[in-house]
Amino acid sequence: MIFSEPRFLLFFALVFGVHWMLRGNSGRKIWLLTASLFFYGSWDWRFLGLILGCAAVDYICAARIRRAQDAGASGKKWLLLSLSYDLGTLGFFKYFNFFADSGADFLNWLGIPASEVTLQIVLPVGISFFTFQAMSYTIDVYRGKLQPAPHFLDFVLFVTFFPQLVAGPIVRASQFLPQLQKKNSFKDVDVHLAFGQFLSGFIKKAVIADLVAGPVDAVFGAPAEYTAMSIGIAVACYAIQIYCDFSGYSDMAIGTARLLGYELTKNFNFPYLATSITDFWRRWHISLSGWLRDYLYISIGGNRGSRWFTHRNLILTMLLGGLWHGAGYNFIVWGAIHGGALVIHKEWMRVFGEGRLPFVSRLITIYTVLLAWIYFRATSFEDAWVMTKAWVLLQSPGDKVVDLWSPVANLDVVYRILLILVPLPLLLLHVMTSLNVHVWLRRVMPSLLVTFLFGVLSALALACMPLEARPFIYFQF
Amino acid sequence: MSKLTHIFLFLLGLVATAWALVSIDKMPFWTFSRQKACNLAIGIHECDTIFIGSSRVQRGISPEIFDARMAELGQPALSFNFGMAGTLVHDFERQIDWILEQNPGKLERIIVEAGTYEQRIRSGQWMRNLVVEAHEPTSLRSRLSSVIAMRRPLWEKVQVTGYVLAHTLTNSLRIGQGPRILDDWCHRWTGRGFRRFGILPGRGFMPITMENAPNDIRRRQHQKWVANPKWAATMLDRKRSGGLPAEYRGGFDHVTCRRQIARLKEAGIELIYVVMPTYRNGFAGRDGLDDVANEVRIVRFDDPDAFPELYGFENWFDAGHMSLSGAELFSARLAEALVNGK
Repeated sequence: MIFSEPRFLLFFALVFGVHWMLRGNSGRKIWLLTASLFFYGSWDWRFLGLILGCAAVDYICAARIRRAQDAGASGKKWLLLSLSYDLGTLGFFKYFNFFADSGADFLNWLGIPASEVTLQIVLPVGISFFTFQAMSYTIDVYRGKLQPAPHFLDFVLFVTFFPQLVAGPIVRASQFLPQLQKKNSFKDVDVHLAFGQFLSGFIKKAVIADLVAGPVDAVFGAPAEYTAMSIGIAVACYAIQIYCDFSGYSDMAIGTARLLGYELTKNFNFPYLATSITDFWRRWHISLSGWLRDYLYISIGGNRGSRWFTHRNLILTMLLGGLWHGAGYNFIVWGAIHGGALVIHKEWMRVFGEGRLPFVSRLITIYTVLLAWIYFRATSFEDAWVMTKAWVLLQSPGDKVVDLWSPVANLDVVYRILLILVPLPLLLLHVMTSLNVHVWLRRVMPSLLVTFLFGVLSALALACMPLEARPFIYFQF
Repeated sequence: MSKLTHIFLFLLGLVATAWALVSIDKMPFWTFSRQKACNLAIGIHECDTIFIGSSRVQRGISPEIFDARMAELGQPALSFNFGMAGTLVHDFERQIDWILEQNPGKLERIIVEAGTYEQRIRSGQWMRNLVVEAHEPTSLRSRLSSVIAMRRPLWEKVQVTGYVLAHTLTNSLRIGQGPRILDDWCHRWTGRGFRRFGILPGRGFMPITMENAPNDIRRRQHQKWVANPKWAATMLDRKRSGGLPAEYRGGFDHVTCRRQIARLKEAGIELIYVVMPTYRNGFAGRDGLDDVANEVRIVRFDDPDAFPELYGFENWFDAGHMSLSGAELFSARLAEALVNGK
């Protein structure tokens, strides 16, 4: 069940209605937990045990850490137990085959015969998100920044809360748990803001991201057949696709949570307008970059050392950030490109200072980000290398020209032209929502009319979405 | 009160926009059937006979052979095959509605395949274009009564009800159909309209062969068929001796059937049901056909002993679809049955 499917809309309508009909806070939390487990179980009910196990272990470990610290000990062994469990679970489901294959390849390369031990492991959806969320909780308790959750119900709801369960934002316990303590009132919910955010996310995902997916799939599937221009277009389309797909999901998650009375972390802030690669990481997947900074970069030393020590930490953080996305060397290369770019930018700032040539800086940033996307999306290193040569040296590996209209091949020319115009007002809607235009709208027109317009826009958005919705790209992580 | 007003206004905006989309949607066919419907729209004012049905009709009736035989028998006709693979009886409703909306002045008869009335979940067809486009809200009541009447466990009925409601709601809101509506609308505006797809050969008849089979399942079924003539003989024996299996008894939708008869009668068009030749031994609702035998003309080809030539092994692509030779033979027999009043 994904946010852009009609059945999710029915599911959410039920959850929303019952949630606000319940009077007590505990009843609402139990209802949300039930809905969240149903939501997660709709993918594969077998993994409900996994997520509940993760929540139970971290809840117990955090309580033990606090008890140990109250008794004057550090509680480090409980922290290590919690991290071992979370990282062990993540490592087994996500990385076992990758490391087993890589190990066998390495031994064979050394001349030591080794057969590959590949297990048929199904990757539980959202595992990278909920394990990171749970880890941040025990680390914060260990660091004394957070009190343990008073009840298991609160903590398990924090881990499983369905709007952000499978693809973030990675919510911090310090932000979410206090929200569970107080009973929300529907009067405090800004429905126009929340719904507008959900709708703009829905349009980004279901209309724009799925629309540009056609040329992306075609070129990334066989890049050696295409011209450099086609490869450039496909890379640009992928940049649009992954942004609309992921930020669309985040918007829907934040909007959904808001409708239920909860605030989640902002995850995107017009990343392609970044003035530098450092600025890009303040705007792209903000909750992950914040997590990596607070729990990885700082833990391995951060910038508390020499310049080269800081650079090493930066690159290591980005390499692991790349690996977090998926068990593949392409993600490591993607992380390496970003890590390298961050180091170069730091050195540039040290020598030339900040704020020089902002336009050129923007161009270099977007060029680097798009180059890195090639490795993020390519299905093999050979393909990625072919595309890199086309991107950097403008070498055409083939003579085929990408058909930009492949997603609507059964339609005709007039519509194709209109198709280009259709996303513009929708993008405008996204910008308007981001700028809180709903507040301005409510000032210039009656609130009831705004509601009516939302109904009209919803019908148009539903009409424009493809029936066979593609899964979100970040679900695979 | 304020909350309810907001909910009401939101739904009003949603429904009003969906209604506007529906009202400008003059070609509610979405898949491969769009080209066929456009072809029919061009020539519908000349047609006197239209065939409607599933793939058995689409693959099994050649209008050219039918018309030629009718002419030989002294009743010249101009027909069109509007059969669509994958459709069931309730799906035919919207085709009839659409035909009547075109005001077909010369249309004398619509020949509809007597097929299954069940709404069972179509395997692998959840939210597919063809299924969604068929679920017009006008057929919702009939579909739900068929769900109640079907001889299946309660849980399956609940599931099928959800399936029907979800598809009908999706189609009523025209979810996912904006691009198609816009495309149709632009073509009407530019004057190209129905002619944009070009004219298909065969006036809607699409014989099935290994080359144009819609998928590998059909090809495998054909290979299985070719390899097992004895199996075909066994199926015929079972058909002769077994009668209508219990699970196919009941479920005939009298209300829908009588409404169709009345509507077409009012429009001055004769409705004829045809029971297509088949190796299979039944379909849900077949036994109910006898109840309306006095109200509507029914021509039956489902008896291998009455029409032995139609059941020649070589005339079939697989157990459910006639080959080109079978379709040509059947088209002639159908013309004869109509003229001779069988």
